[in-house]
Amino acid sequence: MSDNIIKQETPPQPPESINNKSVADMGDNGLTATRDSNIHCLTIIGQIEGHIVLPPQNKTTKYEHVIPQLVAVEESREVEGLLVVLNTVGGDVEAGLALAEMIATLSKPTVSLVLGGGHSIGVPLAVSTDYSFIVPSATMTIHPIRMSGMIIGVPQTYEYFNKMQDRILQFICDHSHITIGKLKEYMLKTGELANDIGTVLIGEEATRCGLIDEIGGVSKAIAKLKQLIDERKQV
Amino acid sequence: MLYTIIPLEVVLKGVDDDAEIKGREIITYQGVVMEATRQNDGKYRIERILSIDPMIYLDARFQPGNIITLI
Repeated sequence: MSDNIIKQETPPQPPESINNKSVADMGDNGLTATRDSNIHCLTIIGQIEGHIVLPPQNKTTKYEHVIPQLVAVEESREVEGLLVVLNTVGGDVEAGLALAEMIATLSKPTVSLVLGGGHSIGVPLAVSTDYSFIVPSATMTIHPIRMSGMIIGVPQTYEYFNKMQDRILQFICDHSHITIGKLKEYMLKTGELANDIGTVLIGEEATRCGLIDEIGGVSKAIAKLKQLIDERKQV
Repeated sequence: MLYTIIPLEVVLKGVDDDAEIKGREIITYQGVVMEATRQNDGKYRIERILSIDPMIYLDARFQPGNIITLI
């Protein structure tokens, strides 16, 4: 049963074929395949949308969609593991951390794969799984939170931002092998980003500092997930 | 509070404008939750599937761009 997900070779049918062919011609691909999948795949794309509905030029992943899906994964008898695929530019701090905590506290095996980019609040999401992968070309940007809206120029403002920053960094450290010192060093580095401070970690650099576990693509990520599922069954 | 590499003025551009309706709705079609645009004739065009079941994405019925009729 578990091999079918990789060996699934039926290509997606182009939309026009629906009009020309009867349902019988299309076979029972969809329904059979659905029953065979014991891994679910959560794609986190664009901005993580939280308490504020973002204007329509943003592509977003909404927490009200994802949180119930994670509950369903935990509750489902069929789903045995979750693959989290990330290509995100960051987004809402509370929503990102909420999703990361949800993923981290799932009892079922989870594996993440960073493709393209896993920036800002995407970093805690990438490390929230049991094991994490990054493709060699993907990047992760670690930088301080920026201020928006009305800012009161008092020391308390700085303290507040520091606190918000710390809760993100603490989560990352708790769920990866990077130290808080190293992470802060990356965050405050100058000369890496054009108009900002921070660090861009590309593929292997993210694994070398202990942030991400391993370099790899989709086959490695699914193989690892299956291994974790098998290990869980044996316990 | 946003933590993103995209400049905040880009992310929030137009946030204060009167809610511009995209015409996109979240619908459930044959048990699959998806984002779809309502057409003039009352049918829907699939924009994006929200399911996390990867096999749904191989199903020809749910390909983005397909025109569907809600019963």
